[in-house]
Amino acid sequence: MRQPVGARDFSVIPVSGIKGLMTSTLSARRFIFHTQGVCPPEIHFNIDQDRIHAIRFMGGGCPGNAELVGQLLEGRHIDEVLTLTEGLDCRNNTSCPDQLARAIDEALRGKLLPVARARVHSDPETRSRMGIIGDLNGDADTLRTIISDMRDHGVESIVCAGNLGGDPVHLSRMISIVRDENLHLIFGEQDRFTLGRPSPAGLPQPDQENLEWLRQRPHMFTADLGGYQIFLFYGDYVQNILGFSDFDPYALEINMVCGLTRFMEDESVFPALAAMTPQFTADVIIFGQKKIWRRWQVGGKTIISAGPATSIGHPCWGLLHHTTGELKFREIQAGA
Amino acid sequence: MAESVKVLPEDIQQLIDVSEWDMRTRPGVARFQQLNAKSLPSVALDGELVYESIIPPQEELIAEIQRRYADKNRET
Repeated sequence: MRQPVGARDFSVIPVSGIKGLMTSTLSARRFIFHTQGVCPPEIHFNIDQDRIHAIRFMGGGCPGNAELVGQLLEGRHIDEVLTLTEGLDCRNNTSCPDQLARAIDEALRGKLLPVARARVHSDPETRSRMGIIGDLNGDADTLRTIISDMRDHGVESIVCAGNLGGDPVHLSRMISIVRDENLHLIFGEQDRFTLGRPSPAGLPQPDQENLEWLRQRPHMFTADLGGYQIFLFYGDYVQNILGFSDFDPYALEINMVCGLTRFMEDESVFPALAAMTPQFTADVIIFGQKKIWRRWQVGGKTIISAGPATSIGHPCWGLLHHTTGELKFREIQAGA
Repeated sequence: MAESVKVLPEDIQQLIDVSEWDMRTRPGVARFQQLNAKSLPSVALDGELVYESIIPPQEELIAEIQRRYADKNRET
């Protein structure tokens, strides 16, 4: 009974002439190589001035040996790394070091392109009261009202879960408020489309410096709330960022929320989610894509969907606070 | 879960190909959904979900593999 479904395809690519290619100089760049025939599915590494750094064999294999290989090769010239690693055999006519050689080969040939890393911002302060703002749809008045209401509730840290919205001119004004009020803002899926939209005729040009500031916002946000690790992201567009790896920090949380549960809509897989949550880094996971206010408790983790900033005609936001060792969440309608 | 398959007797190992899917990854999640699985660990045989939330006793797993193998050979 052969069961070919899902079997890994071990195609062995002969590595030849690598050393003859070592003429180009690679400046600091990050690479993710998808392996074939070995236990770890990915190798991550950086090349800076023809020297290799930060080698990580991700997702499987012998972690101790892999870490040792990474440490021994750290900072070495790629010529030397290739000499040490090329052709080593472990299984399937290859090995982890041999796969690293192939990865470097592909990087030198330009077949493996450097990738960015999803941007993560961490609040350096430990907080006890955090305010969450969802989709604002370009409404600056609502933003001001919510910020004021949050201050009245003693909120110490405010985070916008992406998608400020509006046209570029209104967006620029909203960004000014966010910056003046020292809010944390993550980049939402719609923000990039808003940035690309032309300003309406007759309106002044938006502040380009503000728009550039928005472009540089992190894709994810983390914070410590009374010892609880908070993780906030917008939605599944993060998985499509070139360079997103299933083994990056918080990728597990993203994959489980976006993929496994389809943003918590498929409750039938919550048992599987509960089996995975012990591997989570975060205690609380917040996302904005579904645009509804809701909270779930699964496998000892709190998962929150940040809804719109206006709900039933009222400005609306989420309060996450830590009291007497317990983490609490509630949705608040400003002025209601 | 994969460990329980890896320790199957050699004669049984020769009847099967084993694929392990990592639930941390997007391909693992996609396979899980394709099988319409709900919990972990899950074991599928011939693309059919057979065990969920349990690691079957070795004798039971062997019997199921042998039964399917016999059925297939009968068909051919």
